[in-house]
Amino acid sequence: MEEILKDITAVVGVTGCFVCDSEGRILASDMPHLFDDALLSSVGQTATQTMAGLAAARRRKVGELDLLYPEGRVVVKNLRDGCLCILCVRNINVPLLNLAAKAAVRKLTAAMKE
Amino acid sequence: MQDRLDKLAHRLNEMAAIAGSVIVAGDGTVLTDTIEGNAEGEGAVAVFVGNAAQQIGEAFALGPFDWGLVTMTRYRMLIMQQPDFFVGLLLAEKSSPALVSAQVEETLALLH
Repeated sequence: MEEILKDITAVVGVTGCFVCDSEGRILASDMPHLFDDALLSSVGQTATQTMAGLAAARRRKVGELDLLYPEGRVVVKNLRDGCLCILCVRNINVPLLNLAAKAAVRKLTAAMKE
Repeated sequence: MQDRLDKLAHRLNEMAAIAGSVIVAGDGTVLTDTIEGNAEGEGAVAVFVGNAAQQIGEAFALGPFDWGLVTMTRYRMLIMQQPDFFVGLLLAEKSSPALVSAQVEETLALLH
């Protein structure tokens, strides 16, 4: 899975990305070392619990979250059995990121089924 | 405060890019809305995402949550953080979240 994540990290403006399961356990990561697994897991857990809560409350599957901050942006893509979290700059080229992420989501979803 | 919020909700409702709005406190209490349907449900979306966004932003040290978008097939809600509440905006089809958030920021600034 790390190889798939590298395709996303290669997009200009992406700091790193990681995949976690529905419990927030890190399955693969291509993030700078200053972010340890415990931190990533807590972010993953927050993201997956939020998407699960929204799906239960609204009876609709969450496709993605796109969260903006002064110092960056976090994009979370739903992988059914987990999520893909992408940390990037605030003004990232969103269409380009989505192009890379779309292919990655397909491959990651298939890999997680194995 | 309630007058200000009602005025805000009505101004937001006048924007063509917005199909409905809900202004909700951090504990989920709907303060005002222009939603056709379940305002509490839409308010819950804004609060879930807004609170999660705050936690994620703190974890990554990105500064305070600014705005975010949640997408569920054709449903898109733009969530904006304010000091005392979250603003949840149901976006019309083909509307740009970035443009809408900029316009809403201007509206919020005028009402302060």
